[in-house]
Amino acid sequence: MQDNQTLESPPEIQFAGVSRWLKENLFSSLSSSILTVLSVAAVVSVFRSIIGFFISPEREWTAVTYNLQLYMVQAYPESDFIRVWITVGLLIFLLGLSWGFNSLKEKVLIKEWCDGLLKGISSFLFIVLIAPTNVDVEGTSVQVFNNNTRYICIALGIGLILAIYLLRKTYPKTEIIKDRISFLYISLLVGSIWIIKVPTVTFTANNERVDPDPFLPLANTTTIPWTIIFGFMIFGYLIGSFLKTKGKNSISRLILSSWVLAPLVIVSWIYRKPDFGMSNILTLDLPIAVGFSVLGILAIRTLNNKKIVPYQKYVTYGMLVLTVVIFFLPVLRQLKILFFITWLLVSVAPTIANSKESAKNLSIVWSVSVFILILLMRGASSDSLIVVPGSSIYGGFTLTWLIAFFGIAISFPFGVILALGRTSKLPVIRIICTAVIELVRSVPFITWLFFGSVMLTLFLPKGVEFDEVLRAIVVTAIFSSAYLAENVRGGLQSINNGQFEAADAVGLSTLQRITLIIMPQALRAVIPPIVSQVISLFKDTSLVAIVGLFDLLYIGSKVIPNQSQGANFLGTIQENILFCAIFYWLFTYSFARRSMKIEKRLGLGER
Amino acid sequence: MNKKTIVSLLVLALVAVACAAETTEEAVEEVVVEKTTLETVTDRGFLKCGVSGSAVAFSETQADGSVTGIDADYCYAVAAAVFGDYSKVEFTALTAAERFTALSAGEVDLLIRNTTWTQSRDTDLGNDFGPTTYYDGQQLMGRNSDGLSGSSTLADIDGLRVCTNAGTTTEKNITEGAGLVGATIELVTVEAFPEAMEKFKAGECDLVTTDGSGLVGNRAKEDKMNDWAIFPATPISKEPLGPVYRSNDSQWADIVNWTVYATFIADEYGVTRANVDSFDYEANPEMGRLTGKNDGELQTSMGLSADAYYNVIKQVGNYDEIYSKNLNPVGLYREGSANALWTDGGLIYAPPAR
Repeated sequence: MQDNQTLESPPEIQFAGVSRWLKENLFSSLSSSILTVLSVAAVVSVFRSIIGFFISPEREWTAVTYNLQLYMVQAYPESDFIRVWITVGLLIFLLGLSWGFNSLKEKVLIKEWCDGLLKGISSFLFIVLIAPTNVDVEGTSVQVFNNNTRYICIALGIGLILAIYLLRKTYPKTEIIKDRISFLYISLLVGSIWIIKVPTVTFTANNERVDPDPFLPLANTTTIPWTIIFGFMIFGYLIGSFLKTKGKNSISRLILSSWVLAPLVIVSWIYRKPDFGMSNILTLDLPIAVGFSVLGILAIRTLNNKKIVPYQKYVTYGMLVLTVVIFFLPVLRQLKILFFITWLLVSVAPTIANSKESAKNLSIVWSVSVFILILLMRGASSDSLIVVPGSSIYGGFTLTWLIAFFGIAISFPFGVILALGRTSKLPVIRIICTAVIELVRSVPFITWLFFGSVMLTLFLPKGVEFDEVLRAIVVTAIFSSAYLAENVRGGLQSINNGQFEAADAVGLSTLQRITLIIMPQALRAVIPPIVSQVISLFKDTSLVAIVGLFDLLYIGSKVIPNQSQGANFLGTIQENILFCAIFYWLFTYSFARRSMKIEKRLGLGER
Repeated sequence: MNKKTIVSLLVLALVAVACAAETTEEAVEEVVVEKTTLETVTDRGFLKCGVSGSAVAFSETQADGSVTGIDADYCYAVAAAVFGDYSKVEFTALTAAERFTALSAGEVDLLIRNTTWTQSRDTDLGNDFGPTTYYDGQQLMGRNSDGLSGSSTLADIDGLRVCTNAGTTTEKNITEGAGLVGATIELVTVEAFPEAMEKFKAGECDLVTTDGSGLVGNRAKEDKMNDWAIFPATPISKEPLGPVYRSNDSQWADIVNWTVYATFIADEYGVTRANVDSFDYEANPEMGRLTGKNDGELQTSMGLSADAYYNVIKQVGNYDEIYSKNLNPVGLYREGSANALWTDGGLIYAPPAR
């Protein structure tokens, strides 16, 4: 009986174990005891001064809270904020959907969860205990932390610890789904925005700023949307979980394509508020869409006709010539793109649609994509009805995200193509790809940004104008893809030659060999450098300030410390830089955590 | 080839021809005739104005994204003159490095970005400068406790550490100025001025130097009116700031210049936003001509509506109003400075409107 128990679980560490652990690890000898005491003292004093810095009355945190809107969306007009909320809601809904769909519904012992919680609460208690009561403000000591508050916090902490300990004891073997814990945390966060009070800038009737800034609850315009969005997230999660039980491959593809589509829909239709004109859609877009989908379906059907097969090549070449000709003709930009993708269809259709079933599927996919593409292009090419004082509707965090997201999304396929090109056996392709990679890598990012922003206009014919943000995105994507290509090439080199030979022996085509055999292994091997690349790209977005775009960091470091009108935040540089640092850290750290999980799931570094 | 192929190829060709034949908006776009700046602006429907977006009192971005400041107000004024609506402005935030390229590439119609008027910038870069809207000058700020006061001179800074931002004329001016009087200084350069200010506050340097407007603003913010001294009384450099436009378009130059002059003249005669409607134009024919109340021929001959400058004063204000709104809050006052009217001993002077 006893043997069975030991097999089931290792002996639980008792409280007596704590003192033994301390003795073994921290106070094993005289010298290590001295070292322990000294380092604890150093840690405490450093933490004390950091906490003191944060809560000092010299810090003007209203510079951050008052400017949150500027930080997030810069000059986006308040009357159209619903569009921002829809954007956020859509993305978070998709996040919930993917979460629910991909979740393994892992379980964790309540006991283990409680251990984690105890660590968190102990850190909180540690901070409360060492927080300085007084800080030095220009030579005079000012009380910043009330002792009563400290006692209340300590009592609260101890109470929580007892409660958790009790929970731990009561359910020693019960398991809980990890996702539920995450939802508990998120709902606590969302709940807290209803009760939290933040220092707010207020003005008296004759426009004088109230001093000191009063603590007020958040406005309804913040709390209500976030609560609704939280609802979307739960809804998405539930749908995702439900779809998972259906377990179809097509659903996973659908979710993936909605992730591709959502950002495009957001930038072309939701965030921009395009002045599209219904007549344009009915008289121009609809006929084009119908025409091209019929054309595509016709092409798919004829190209698979046995009698046509020998001539497939000529059709593809003919289409290519036509695409090039159309590109240089003064026609709608939409048509140029449509001809290009028609050429792509004509060249891949014979390989993909080789059976009746797959031809039917390809036809459906083609028609749907043509319609979606035309609608997206209509939105993107129409004038925006959003009026902002600055030249771009993207600013602040929105701009940071936009550049990071599209930079990564565009650079990924390009990077893979460049990497494959560099390892290609065809000299022309290899030389071109190598040249591109080396040229892009050997010039600093800032120089490329300058080139895109300032010099490109001088080379382009007069009247051709590109949006400043678009230029920044393209430059970021090109720059990042060169680095990504080298990362991916590293992965390609790690693959044994036997894999190539085996693929050839089975009779796979080049495309199949790359997509089914080589790439899955190569990419799996280079997840860590790719994640580093993504993180570094996310941080590099702050360099776009050099071309006059207001990204998150520029607003924090230059714009807000120079506001003298209204609330007057002149010189509040420390608060704002700290806020930006925390903001960047939150995102990059969660990328890193996410990638660690993916690596774990793929069993990376274990085999 | 069988029939089907031929048919589908024919369809392709037909679509291609149909597309090519279609005249589209883009086709029109490609035929660009050289237009004057005024035509470009009026066709576009709004003015593109290059500002800093993060310069205290000159062009600040506020919490709601709006742009304020003396530079921004002159952008609003030009828009009011051209369109009769001050809000028809799109601001482009420009860094110091890219401002002139952006102007010559046509990305902005007008550059008002606290830009100092110098000979090289005026002659080399294909730009022209409008009338100065703010006379600035480089000064130093130090602590009274170091024995410095408003009457100190450059000779008093011998052996002190000076913080400034790198790569600007500020750095050159102070080195040259100190060299002239034989003072040796230790120069500490940082990337941007707010950092220089942080170093000064932390005591890492004894002095901080930049344009006087920046120093006064920071002293007011830190509430150190009695602890920090700004000197020398006569600045060590001349920094006339004003609008910049592309060369060789005298119509546009006239419009911008006279928008600035209109605010000066209105200030001279005491015409404000409040009394611009009730002002007695019969008694003052010059204001009558300028606002188009009596005769607006001077404005119509330069391509504007007769009441263009009436709109400027009505919607934005005269020079004194623009100045007081933006520069008084940071502790900069007109009295006794070069920015007073010429009648008060300053340099704000406009040619007569006749």
